Amino acid sequence: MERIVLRQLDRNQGEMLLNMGPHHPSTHGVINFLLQADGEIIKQAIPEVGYLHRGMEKIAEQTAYHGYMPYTDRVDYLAAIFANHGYALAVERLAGIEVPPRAEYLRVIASELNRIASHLIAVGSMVMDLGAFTPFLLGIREREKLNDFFEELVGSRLTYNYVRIGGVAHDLTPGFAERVLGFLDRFIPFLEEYDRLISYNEIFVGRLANIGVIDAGEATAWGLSGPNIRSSGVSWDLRRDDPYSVYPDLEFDVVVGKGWRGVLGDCYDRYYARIDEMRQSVRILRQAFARIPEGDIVAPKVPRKLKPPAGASCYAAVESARGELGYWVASDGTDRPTRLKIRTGSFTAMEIIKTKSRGLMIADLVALISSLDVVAPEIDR
Amino acid sequence: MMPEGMTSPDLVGLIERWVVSTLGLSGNWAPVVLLGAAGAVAAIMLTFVAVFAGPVTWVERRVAGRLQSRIGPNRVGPQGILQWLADGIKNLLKEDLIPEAADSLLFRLAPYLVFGGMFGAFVVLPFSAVGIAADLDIGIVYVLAITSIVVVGLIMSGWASNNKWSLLGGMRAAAQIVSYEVPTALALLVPVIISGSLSTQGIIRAQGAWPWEWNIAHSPLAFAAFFLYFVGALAEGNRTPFDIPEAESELVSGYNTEYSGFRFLAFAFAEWANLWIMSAVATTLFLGGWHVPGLEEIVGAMGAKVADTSVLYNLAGLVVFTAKSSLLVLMVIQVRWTLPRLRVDQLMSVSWKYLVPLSFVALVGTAAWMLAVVEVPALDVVARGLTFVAFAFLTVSGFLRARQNRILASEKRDWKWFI
Amino acid sequence: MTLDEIAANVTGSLGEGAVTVKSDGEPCLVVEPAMALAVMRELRDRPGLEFGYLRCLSGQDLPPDRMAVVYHLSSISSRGKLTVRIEVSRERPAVPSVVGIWPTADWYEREAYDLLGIDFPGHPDLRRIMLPDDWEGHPLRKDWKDPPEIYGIPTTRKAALDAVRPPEGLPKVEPKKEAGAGAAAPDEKPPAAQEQE
Repeated sequence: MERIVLRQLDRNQGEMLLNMGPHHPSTHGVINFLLQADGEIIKQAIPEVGYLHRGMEKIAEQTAYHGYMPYTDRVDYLAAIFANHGYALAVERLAGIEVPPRAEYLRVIASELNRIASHLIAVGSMVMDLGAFTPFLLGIREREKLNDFFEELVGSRLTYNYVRIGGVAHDLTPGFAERVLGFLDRFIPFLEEYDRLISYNEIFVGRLANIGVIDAGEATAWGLSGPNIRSSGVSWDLRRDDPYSVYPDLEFDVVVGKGWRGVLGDCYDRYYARIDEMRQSVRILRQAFARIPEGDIVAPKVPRKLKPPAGASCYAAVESARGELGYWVASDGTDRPTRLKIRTGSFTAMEIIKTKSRGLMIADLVALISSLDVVAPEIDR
Repeated sequence: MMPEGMTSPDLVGLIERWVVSTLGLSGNWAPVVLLGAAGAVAAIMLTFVAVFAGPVTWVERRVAGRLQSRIGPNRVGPQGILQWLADGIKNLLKEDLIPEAADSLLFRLAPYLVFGGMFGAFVVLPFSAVGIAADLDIGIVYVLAITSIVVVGLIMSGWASNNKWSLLGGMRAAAQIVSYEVPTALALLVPVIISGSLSTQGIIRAQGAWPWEWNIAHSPLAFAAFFLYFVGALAEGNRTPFDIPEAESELVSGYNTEYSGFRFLAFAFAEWANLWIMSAVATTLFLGGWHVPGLEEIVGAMGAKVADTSVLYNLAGLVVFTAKSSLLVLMVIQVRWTLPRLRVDQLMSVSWKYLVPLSFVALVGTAAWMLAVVEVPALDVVARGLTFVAFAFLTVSGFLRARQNRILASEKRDWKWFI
Repeated sequence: MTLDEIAANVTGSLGEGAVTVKSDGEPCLVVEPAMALAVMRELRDRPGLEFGYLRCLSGQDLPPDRMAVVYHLSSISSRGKLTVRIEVSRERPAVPSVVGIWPTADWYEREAYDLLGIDFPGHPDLRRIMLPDDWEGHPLRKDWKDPPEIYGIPTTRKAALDAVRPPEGLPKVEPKKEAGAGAAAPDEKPPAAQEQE
């Protein structure tokens, strides 16, 4: 691979090949960027992925449907509920399993809590990559409370393994709703404090505005998803546009980029879209806690050995914190999928960096990578 | 004010005279005594740097901890205050790694240059009336000149490491420090023309003890020059928001990536020493130095006169000077843990498009102001009063803002919030 | 818009036989590889269809003689969804590359090439993405067998244990008899297995 870049180097112009990664503080995991750079200015940055390839699709072919659930936690360790949920959704549609409404609400509650936790890391690490360390730790402080909630609800703080095919694993604990709602009441003022501390900081805005602009057409063509495509001005949210679970019953706004500090679709839009999404998640959570019905948390008759009809296949996707997290599951009539394909948001987000990195400076590339909120294990799976 | 043609006493001279008079040595011994005295003073200063740089790392980490809702180091010694000793010992015990492909000579030389450049500035930093290694006539120019050596060391370390990231860090450091030297030097000239002296002691003696007698309150332009100097000094010291030469999220660690053990420690030492230099120069030139407010009035009322060599007077001056500088150091630390980092081109444009023209305006404006004051002496009183009020207002409102933020965060009220 | 209407739209401009509708399993359009590019371009550009958003591209091995590439498309404007399926022979699987239509297909096709060995003629830079450049074979094929050793690392548990087994001559630690008896009991699951359940 390096040879390809080396061949393109214009040594007379003093260009050099720079290996950014696989161990670099701002690549957010084990990713390698091959930079063709003229001093600080990048001619092109070629992402090389695959360092974290664990063959999850191969593992799925050797694991029973129920048994694969813990593996899905490892698709995206910052937002494991979504990976659980997407997998359960695909298998439920494949096997025709009805999910009780209480379980759907529990899934939504867990998802939105996880979305807040994941976005806190996303904006925090973005800020940290630009050199401000304090806001990151303030975000971590809030996320710690969310982790405590997850520990209470799920029993685990990072790899939740919460969703089951046909429902969820655990019901709410007594007083859980009150505690979460209390947290949410304090969380909105926290977001305002966060804005005052860093979002409106002139240096910060100057670093992000007008950098790495992705317009709506490019975002669609390159298959960006989640906050990344929305901040380019495309109103596309799977919770509304490819409805699943109980999202159609809940009221929320799809956050779309405004370009209010620069051009539409720049890094600042992608940053602020995530802050706004956290506010929407708070809205969703309040509604979900108000509406959650009594009832079962898992469908009563889910066979131990799931055998979907042979030849059937199904694609189901959820709106993860990092964009569309989809599973394509194909069955051959046995109790294991014959093929399982995972589509993740980070995969396409990492893909676009090659075209978007031309002419940026190294410091801008760092901002671009972190603004796309890429998580390495999600790319490689 | 000192009479013309007479330099104020300094430590080397004092020790020299004391040794000669105690031992009754003849004039032939003068060079030896001078060397010995200089060596002794250098040892004192080096000890000061070590003892300052160590604990200030602890202070910085504790302050950062408070800012970030965490505790910080609290294991080694009471409240972790001995953490710096543990860190230092750990670094000393580490293997001194020199990469195979590195330019071994330059690689080993660079930390000494960096540290030497920083340490050299301590020669003219005054701590009290006599507490100065040597009161050079051209003290300020000397500080600017000797700290420029640091650039050579940084670019040398970046080049010799034979690592592209280090090289980028070294280049960034060179570009940044050279650019920011211009506004810093220009801003430093403002107190120089106010006081009419290039010697650090001379500038301090030209100021009074009370805040409205300081150079910072001389005129609005001097007030601006203080901030110009402060921003420029932050950049020269590679402190956030200007820490791009060692931007850890971009360049891993910049020019010192390949260093380990004591050589790495030398870079760290230089950084902390520079923290002190930056604050001490600001205190000397703008904030009245080691003058003890009210002391001269009290002593004058008792019918005595303050002697420069009086031990008590010097101790009081030392305390005042250290207190002022430490406050500035604390401010630098808080700035570091609050702001994000600029980009290289933004950094350059801040320097050349804003700081350089502004510092020229401050310099020329101050000169014009002084001419105007000669014509209308009342202007001086009004300006000093107003600037002092503005300064006091900024300080008080800063504290009030901090208090308000604490109330918003509904934090428990305790005395530790400062640290 | 239903699947039949989409198919009618496409055949209207490209003629009969370009696409067929498969309604069992997962409803989808089945496209002949030779017609693929024309159909895809039609799907993206034709007013009313506008499937400009490639959501997912998956390859599938269908032994003994077929391989499939499945495209999941969406239309941002009409919120429509569509699945397109191309089946090719397993001997020489080759599907025209759609990178020119949806740039995002770049890495998806590289992944399908890497893991399944499907060739995408017309791809600008078709090389391995997940696996190392010098990897041999395509692991997601159904006839994939783990080689005994990959880069010197044994792939079976027994070989791995043999590799770290201490050499002969070292004093051997005998397991205690009670523990050995407990582990030998066939009806008792190890605790790890119970947790999994």
